[in-house]
Amino acid sequence: VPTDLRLNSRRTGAVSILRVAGEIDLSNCARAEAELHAARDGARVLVLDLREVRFIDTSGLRLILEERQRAQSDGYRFLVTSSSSAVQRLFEVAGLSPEDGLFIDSPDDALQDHGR
Amino acid sequence: LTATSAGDRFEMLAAVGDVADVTLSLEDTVQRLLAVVVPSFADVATFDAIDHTGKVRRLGALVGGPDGRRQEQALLVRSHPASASAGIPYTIATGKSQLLSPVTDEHLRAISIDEADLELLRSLGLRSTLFVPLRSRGRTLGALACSVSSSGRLYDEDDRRFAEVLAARIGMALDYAGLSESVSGLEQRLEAVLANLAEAVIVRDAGGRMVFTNDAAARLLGSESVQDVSGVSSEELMARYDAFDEHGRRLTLDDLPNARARLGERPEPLLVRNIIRSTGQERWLLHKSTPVLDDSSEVAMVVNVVEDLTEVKRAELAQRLLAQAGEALSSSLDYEQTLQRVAQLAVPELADWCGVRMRGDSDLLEQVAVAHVDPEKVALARSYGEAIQIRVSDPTGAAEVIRTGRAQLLGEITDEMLERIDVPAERLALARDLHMRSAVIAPLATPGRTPLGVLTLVMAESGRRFDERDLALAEELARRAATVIENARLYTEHTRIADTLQHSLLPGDLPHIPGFHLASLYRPAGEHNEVGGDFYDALPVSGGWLVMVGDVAGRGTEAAALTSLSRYTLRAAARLLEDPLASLQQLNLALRERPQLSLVSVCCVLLRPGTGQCRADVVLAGHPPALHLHDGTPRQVGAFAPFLGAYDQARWSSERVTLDPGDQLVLYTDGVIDTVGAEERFGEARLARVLVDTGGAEDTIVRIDRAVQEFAQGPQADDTALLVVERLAEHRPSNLSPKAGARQVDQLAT
Repeated sequence: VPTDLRLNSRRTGAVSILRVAGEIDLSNCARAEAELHAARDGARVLVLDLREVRFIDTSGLRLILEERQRAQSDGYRFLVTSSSSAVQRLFEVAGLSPEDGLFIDSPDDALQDHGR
Repeated sequence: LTATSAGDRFEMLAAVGDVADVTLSLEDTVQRLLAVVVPSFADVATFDAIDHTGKVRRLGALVGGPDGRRQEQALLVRSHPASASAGIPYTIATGKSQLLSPVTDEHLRAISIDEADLELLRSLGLRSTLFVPLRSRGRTLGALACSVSSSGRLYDEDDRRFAEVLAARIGMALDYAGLSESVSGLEQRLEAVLANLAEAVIVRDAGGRMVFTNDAAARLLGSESVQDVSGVSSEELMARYDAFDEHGRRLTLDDLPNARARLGERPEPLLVRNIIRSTGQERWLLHKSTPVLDDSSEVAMVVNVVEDLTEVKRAELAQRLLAQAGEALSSSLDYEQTLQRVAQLAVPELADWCGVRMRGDSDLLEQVAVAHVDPEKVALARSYGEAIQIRVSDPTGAAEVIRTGRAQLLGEITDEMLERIDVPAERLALARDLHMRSAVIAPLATPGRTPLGVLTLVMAESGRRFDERDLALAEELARRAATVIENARLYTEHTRIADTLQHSLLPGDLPHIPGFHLASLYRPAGEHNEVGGDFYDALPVSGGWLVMVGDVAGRGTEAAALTSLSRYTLRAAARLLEDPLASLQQLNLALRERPQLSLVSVCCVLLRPGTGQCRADVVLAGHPPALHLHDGTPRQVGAFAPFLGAYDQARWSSERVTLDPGDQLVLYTDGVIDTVGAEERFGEARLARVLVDTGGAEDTIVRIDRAVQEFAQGPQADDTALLVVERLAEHRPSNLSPKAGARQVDQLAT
C-alpha cells in the first residue's frame, strides 16, 4: 500500500523550496529523493518544507542527513522546516538537535535572507 | 469464284491495301473489305471480332446471290456457342485456321447454337468453309469466315494458305480503321495495369471460364506463368485447398464471393484461411469479387481480386500470442503451471499440439506441459510424451536442440522418418495415431545460457506444415518462457541466499545469562528474498552482558554488508572496551570511513548483574527508547542521540535503570512503532499500552506481535526485531532453558 505523499517544488531566485505533504517512508522515499535532487539543481539554498508532513521514518531521516552532508561538501545551504509534533519527536529520537543549524521556522526566513 | 489465279489473288490483296489507305469509319471499312472477298473468293463471308469482355461480336456479313440480303440479316445477328471447341470461337481462342471441306451436317451441328441456328446454316447450302484468324500486331482480333455454296467449288490447302494471308491484311486494315481502339485498346491498357498489380486478379466469364489472370494470380495459384493457370476452373482450384473462414468454419466454392457475384450480387469481401493440400502451407487471402454486367444487365464477367494477407495475419498472430504469453508468464512464479498456459496459447493457431519438456536433475527430459487442439487427444498426446523417453545424450531431435541451443524445423514428417526413430512398435503406432505431419522444436533458453528444456510444436490433423516464420515465432515464445523460468529459479536461489545471510546476521541461539531470561522475535519484511536491515545480539563483556537491537537504513545486500560490519564491530569493541559508549564511538568511526553515508541506529544495554541489585545502562543512538517494565508499568528509558555514522563528532550517553526481579527491558526496532494502520502508525503510546501488566518475556513478545498484526493494514513494510530481557525472580530458577524459550518464540515468526 503506497503511503500518501505529495511533493511540490518552487523556486525564487537562488532559493529552491520543496514542499512535502503526507508521510515519508520506505515505500515512497525514492520519489521524494528524486524530487529533492531536481529541486537542488542550481540552487544556492535548498529548503525542505515539512510543515505538512505527519510522519517520517528512518529512510526519510536518512534522506535529510544525506542532503545535509552533501550541502556541506558541495557548498550550498540546506534547511528544513517542520511543525508537526510527530515529526519533531522523530527528529528528536534521531538526535537531530535544534542547534544543528538545519532548522528554520518558515521558508520565508530563507527567502528573506537569500531570495533576491 | 473468279480469283483462282495468282494474279487475281494479288489483285485482291492490293484491293485490301487500297481500303486500308483510305480513312474510313470502321463500318465502311468492314463493308468494303467484305466486298473484296465476296464474290471473288467466297459466296458467303463474315467478320467477327473479340471485344474487351471476351465476347465474340459479329462485325459484318456479305452473302452473294439473289437471296443474299435476307441471309445477311440472319447472319448478322447470329451468335456463337460459349464453348470454344469449334468454329469461329475456336479460331479466335487458338489463333488457328480451320478448313471444312466438304462441310458435313455434323460440322454444322458443332458450330450451331440451337435448331433454328442449324436450319439457318443448312439453308445457306454451304459446301466448303474456311475459318482464319484476323490478326494485327501479333494479336488475334477476330476471325474471317469464308464459305462456298452455289458456286460449287471446294477449298483446298492452297486456299487456306491464301485465306490466312488475306485475313492478315484484312486484320491490319481493320486495325487501322480503329477496331483495336474500339474493342481491344481498353483491354490492352487494362491488361497492362492489371498485370502489374500486387493483388491477384482473376477474371472469369459468365460460364466460369478464366478469361484473364495476372502474374500475381499465377503465383498465388502456385504456377510459374499465366499460361499454366489459364483454363483452370474454380472447382479444380478449390480442390487444391482446404478453405476456412476466420472462425475455422470450412468453406465450399459456393461460400466464396465469386459464386455470389456470378449471380449478380455484390458480395462483401471474405477473409479465407486456406491450406494448400499438397504442401500444407497456410495462407490468409482476402477475396473480393465484383460482377461486370453487359448491356442487357446480365453478368458478363466476374472480376476477382485476391489479396494475400498472410504476412499481416501472421504478424497479428505473433503479436497477440506473444502478448498473451507475456501475461501468462508474468502471472505466476509456478513455472510448470505457466508453461501449461503457454502451451495452451499455442493451440490451435500456431500448432495442433504443443508440448514442453524440461531438463530435470537426471539426463532425462521430462514432459511438463501438453496441449492439443482436440480435447480427446490430449491424453493420447500426454501418454505419447511420457512413453517416449528423451535423454540429453540422444543423437537427434529435442536432445540435439538442447545440446546445440538451435531450434529445428521438421517441415514434413514422413512415415519413413517415424520408422527410422528407433522405438518399439507400439510407440510407433501411437505416433501414427497422432498423425504427426510437421514439427518445430525450439530451445527454452535465454541468450548465452544452456537451454532449460524444449518447446515442441506439432501439426497433425490440420495438415498444415511449419515454415521459417513459425520457427521464428516458436523460438521467440520459447525464449520468453525461458526468461521467466530463469527469473523464477533466480528468485528461489536469491531467497535461499538471503535466508542464509540473514541467519548469519543474527545469533543462532541467544546465550544463557544467569539470572535472566531472553526472548526474541525477528520478522523480515518483503518477499523473503531480501536481507533485512534489523539485527539483535547478546554477548558477554567484561563486567556483564551486552544486549542490543539495531537497525540499518536500507535493504538488500548493501544493508546486509552494513549490518555485518555493525554487529561484528560492536562485538569486537565490546570485548575490548569496558565502556559500551566507547564501543559506539568505535563503530561510528568505522561508519564514517565508508564512502557513502552509512547510518545505523542501535539500542545497547549493558547488564551488570550484581548479588543484590542489578543495574542496566541503556544507550540510544538514533533509536527509539527501550521500555522498562516494572510493577506492570512500562517506562521509556534512554537519552536520544544521533545515528551512528551521521556525524564525525557526536556524543552518546547512558541512562541507568535498576532491574528488580520480574522486571523486563523491551528493545525493539522502528518496524514495530512505524507499522501502518487504518488511520495512523502504531506508535510509541500504543506499544506502551500493550505492555501494561504483561507476563513473562514470551508473553511480552506474543502480545506485541499480536497487537502489531491486528493493527497492520496491508503487507508488512519494514523489518521488525524484538528482544526482551527479563530478570528472573530469585526464588524461581528457570526451568525453561533460555535457548529453548528463544527458539520457541523465533518459530512464531515463520
